Amino acid sequence: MKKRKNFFIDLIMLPLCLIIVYPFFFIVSTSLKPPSEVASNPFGLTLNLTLNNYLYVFENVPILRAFFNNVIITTSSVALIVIFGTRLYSIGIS
Amino acid sequence: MEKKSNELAVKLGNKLKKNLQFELFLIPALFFYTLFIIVPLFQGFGYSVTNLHIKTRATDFVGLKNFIDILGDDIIKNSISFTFMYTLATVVLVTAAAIPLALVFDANSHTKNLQRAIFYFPSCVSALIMGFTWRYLLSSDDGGFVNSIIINVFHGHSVNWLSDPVIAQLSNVLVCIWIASGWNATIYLAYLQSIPHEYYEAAYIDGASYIQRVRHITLPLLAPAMTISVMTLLTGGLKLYELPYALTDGGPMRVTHTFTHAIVVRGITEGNYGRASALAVVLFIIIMVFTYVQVSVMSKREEKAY
Repeated sequence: MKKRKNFFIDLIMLPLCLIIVYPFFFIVSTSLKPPSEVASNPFGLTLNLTLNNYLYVFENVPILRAFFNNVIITTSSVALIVIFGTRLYSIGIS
Repeated sequence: MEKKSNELAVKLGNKLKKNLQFELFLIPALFFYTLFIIVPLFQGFGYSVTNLHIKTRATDFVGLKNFIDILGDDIIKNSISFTFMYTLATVVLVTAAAIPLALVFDANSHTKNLQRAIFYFPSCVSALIMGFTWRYLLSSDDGGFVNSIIINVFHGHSVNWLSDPVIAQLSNVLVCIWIASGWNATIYLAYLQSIPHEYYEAAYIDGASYIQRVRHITLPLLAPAMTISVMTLLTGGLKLYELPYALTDGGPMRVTHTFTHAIVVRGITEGNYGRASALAVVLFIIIMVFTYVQVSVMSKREEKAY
């Protein structure tokens, strides 16, 4: 019972996907706009792009430090979970 | 006879030795678990019957006074009703959205993998960030994104998404559906793909329609997935904090205060640790009872399905 590809499903699902994607598009597009553009045209596309916001973040926010903290917490907790968790598992089946 | 019992003792000793070897590995995990989870938990139970406050630092035993005071606390009434409303609404609506989504993801379409990836994505991002983003998109003036669509495309009136007491609560539920339905659909999809194709083929030959096949094969066999999905929604809803904090900041007029929000306000903002601990104990008991009842009821349903 090989199913045929259903074009109707794509037709319904792609608009729904747009609803899911739009807030992420909004985050990215706002991050690339200069402040004047954010005020005049907050939601749409623009060609007036800038990387100044990213420069500002790297200069004024300790973002590398924050990211490093996340990396430390994630790696150490994953390592401990793998070590202790697999031990628990081997007791479970022995 | 004696020899046999000797052998048994040796066997038992060997087994004990072998198990002990494994159980020694538990000690570090158990140590940290006790230190960081069990001890604070019981400390919290202890504080809940004292009048510990950030100013006095006294820990006098006051019995059940904190628990009785909770009943008359006006911050609690809103937070309990909103927390329960939100939990009920998200459990029902996210499940109602996730099962059809899983069925669609399972069907053969051109952009199947793209759809799955996109719907799963919101659950990878912190709910705090999603809350702040939607706060901007839903902003109540005519310049908000959703409102400008309503006005310009549908020629309707702008809606006070975040400042009307009733609609603000619904907005929280809507954003939760937006975040959670894809993740829950993935759980359903995993179980959906483990259902043997023979069932569907047999039903198809017997002349069952698509609706009948979904109703009598898919839904009963999805019972284990439903137990897990509803449990995560239930516990996530009852201890909800960051989404309404980012989206509506507990407002307007505290209608979107959650139970956890009340604990934070009483404990960290006001420093009334005794009261906050009592609240936390109540929340702990509520979550325990609800989850226990839900899992035991739904596990019985699983057994019936097979």
